[in-house]
Amino acid sequence: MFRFFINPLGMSLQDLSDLHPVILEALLERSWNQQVNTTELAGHPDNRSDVPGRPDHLLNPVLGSQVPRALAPVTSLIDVPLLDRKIRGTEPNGPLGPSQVRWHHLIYAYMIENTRLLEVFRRALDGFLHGERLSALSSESQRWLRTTEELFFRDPPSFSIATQTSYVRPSLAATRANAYQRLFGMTLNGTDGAKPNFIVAEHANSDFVQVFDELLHEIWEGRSNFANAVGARPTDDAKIAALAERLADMLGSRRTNGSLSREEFFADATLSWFHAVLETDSHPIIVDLRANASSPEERLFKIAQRVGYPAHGLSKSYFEIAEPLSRLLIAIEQKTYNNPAAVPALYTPAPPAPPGGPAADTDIILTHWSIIRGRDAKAKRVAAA
Amino acid sequence: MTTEAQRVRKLSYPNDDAMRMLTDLLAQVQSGFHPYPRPLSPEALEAVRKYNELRRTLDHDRPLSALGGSSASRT
Repeated sequence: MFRFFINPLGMSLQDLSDLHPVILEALLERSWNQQVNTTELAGHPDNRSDVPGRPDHLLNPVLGSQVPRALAPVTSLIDVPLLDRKIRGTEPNGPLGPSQVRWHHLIYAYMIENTRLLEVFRRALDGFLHGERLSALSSESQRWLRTTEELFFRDPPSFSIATQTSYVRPSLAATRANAYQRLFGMTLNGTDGAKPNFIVAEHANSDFVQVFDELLHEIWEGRSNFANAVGARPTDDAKIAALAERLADMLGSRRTNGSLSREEFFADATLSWFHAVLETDSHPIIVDLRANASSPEERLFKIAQRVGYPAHGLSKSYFEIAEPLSRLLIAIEQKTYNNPAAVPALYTPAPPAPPGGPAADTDIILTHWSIIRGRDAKAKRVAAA
Repeated sequence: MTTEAQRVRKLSYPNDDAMRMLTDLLAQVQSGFHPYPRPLSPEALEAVRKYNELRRTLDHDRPLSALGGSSASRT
């Protein structure tokens, strides 16, 4: 969600870091309340959950005032009401506009968390909070540190949509790991001892990876043969549609009546905060950690080096695949590709009208899924004799 | 082909013109199996439109690949 505030809505990460944590938490609540909400059954991408967030009239006072920037002249203000208006799609104090906020699929959080950036940043916080081994922090970084610790390294406040710890489930990391296992049948790849202990659910999509492998292979057949003028064309649109339907059914089953939506929302918010930091080379915490570099994974590697914990060597692939894969899985859950006639959109590159479409994303996914899995999704099948 | 074979073939398939036309027809039918590049079907166009709408409403529109960097492994 934080990258949503930054990229489409125009708020800088530095301004977000300057805000009081209660304002950031209220912005998350507002986003939850303004989620896309059609007449689809709860759990569908166009109606993720019917669980209400904090009432809007309680959020209005928190989001109604401009906030002075930390180290700038008093006249320099952060326009929180403007951001709120963009989220609501309407004027402040006016009637709420149509709901239009989406968040990424849980696969986004899974891929970003696999870079091990959470543990890297936890160790960085540990270093800053317990001494001066890493460096002395600037005032801006201290505000970021306070916000980060408040929002992501302690129990969320009561009655918040992010409140997902209790006597029943004491660990946020274990809650996320449980959600990953249920939706994708996968666990995180953390180093030994760093993996959270979590409750393994009986009902889980344990064949997600196998079906997705097959889907990617068939999409590649379409991609590599879409322009054939002579010879065989092994593209099988009906099979791609059947595999997409299988994925939609298994993901939809785990989301019945909107289950896992709150967990997905807060997992995405958490990972997007750290993802946004790594994307911003000029951010004070990056400067203070002397982690300036040309790309997010290089910054992560530098911070990892300083705190003495290995980031994942394939972090670039995890960063690259996270959002395209999220978009594709949401589209699959929308059942867009259950119709074989719609399937060519998945592999026909750059259709002239309308431009865009999923083919550019499937190309990225094919490349980085193969790298992450260690199995070439483009390889020809070899039939056993 | 021997003269005898030519004679037999001619007797067996006297309508040489039909053979040529059939071959032509099969070639045309086969090319019909490979209709690309062609415009996307209305359903596929609708899938592209929905995907673009999804992309517009999701957070982010900046490909990370634009930022460069390498994927070398290290700690």
